[in-house]
Amino acid sequence: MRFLRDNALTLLFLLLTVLALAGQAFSGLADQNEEQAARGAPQTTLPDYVTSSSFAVDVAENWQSEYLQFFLFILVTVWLVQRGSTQSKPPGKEGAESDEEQNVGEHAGPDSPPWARAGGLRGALYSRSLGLVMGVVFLWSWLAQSVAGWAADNDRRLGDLQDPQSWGDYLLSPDFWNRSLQNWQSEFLAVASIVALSIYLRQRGSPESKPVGSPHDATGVEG
Amino acid sequence: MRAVLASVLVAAALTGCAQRQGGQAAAAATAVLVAAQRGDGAGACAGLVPSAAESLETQGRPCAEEIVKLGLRSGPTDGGEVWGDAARVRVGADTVFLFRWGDGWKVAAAGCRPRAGRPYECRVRT
Repeated sequence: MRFLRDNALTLLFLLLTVLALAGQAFSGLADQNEEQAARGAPQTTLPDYVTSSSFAVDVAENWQSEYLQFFLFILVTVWLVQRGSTQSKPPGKEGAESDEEQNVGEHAGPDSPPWARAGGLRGALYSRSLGLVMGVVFLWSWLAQSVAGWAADNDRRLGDLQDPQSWGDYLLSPDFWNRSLQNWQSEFLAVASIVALSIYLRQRGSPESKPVGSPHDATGVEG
Repeated sequence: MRAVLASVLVAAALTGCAQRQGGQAAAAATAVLVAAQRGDGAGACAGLVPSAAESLETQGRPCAEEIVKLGLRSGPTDGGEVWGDAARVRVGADTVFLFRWGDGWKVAAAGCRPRAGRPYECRVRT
């Protein structure tokens, strides 16, 4: 019970991910089977659909954009600030900050992670581990999108009586960039919205908001 | 290293799977062309997807009568190339396009010749 309470936020979103993926699988299968029925083709089964390139590219294109959003946000907020936003450091604190401010090396406390105390390569790696992991998952899922999208697009091309194309040609194709950019634009807008709206709007009790009575120009304050 | 090995194994498995499916698609394409070539119109039309067979049924004449008049010829195949639920097989000088149909394949277009910058031109198509 204590475990559930201490980890409720992560667990809820993992559960929502699984439920949404299942919903995507069933609705995507129904959509595909409607098209199959229209041309008199046999119905696709759920196992065949969830292992298809069209399902994989739909999943991967959304994953890559989410991880790109977090990767960029984590990195850019080191250097850029927004006065009044809960998502920003106060102006004047731009940059990687001092070892003392970051509790690393000789400034590490007794409860600091061992790699924060270690310094050297381990310390440098650990100091960037959040951005690195987000960046690696972004690149991995963008690569997965490119491979699955290549396969799905070649499937479509053969259906349109056209020759399949190489992976290199697919990377330069409108399909690849349309899938990427249509996801990126929504992620960038969402980041700009939370950064700017948290200056003026409040959500009582949420750490993503300032306390309701905080002034608009208070920066980096969490409720 | 494990990730690289796993990727190689997955790629090898997919390649083997694609080759086997390409062979099945090539066999389905050849069966339609051989039947049409020897005058077995009903046999040839049975290997077409329904919309391709219907496209041949002009002026009340059945697919089986029309398909044998198109001059479709069988020949050596390139083994076929499969992407998802679609395949392309080179048969002699012509190209055949197929759709996955249940556990097998059916011909969606046959007697196709490439056109620069445009889809293939086909004597049979959906």
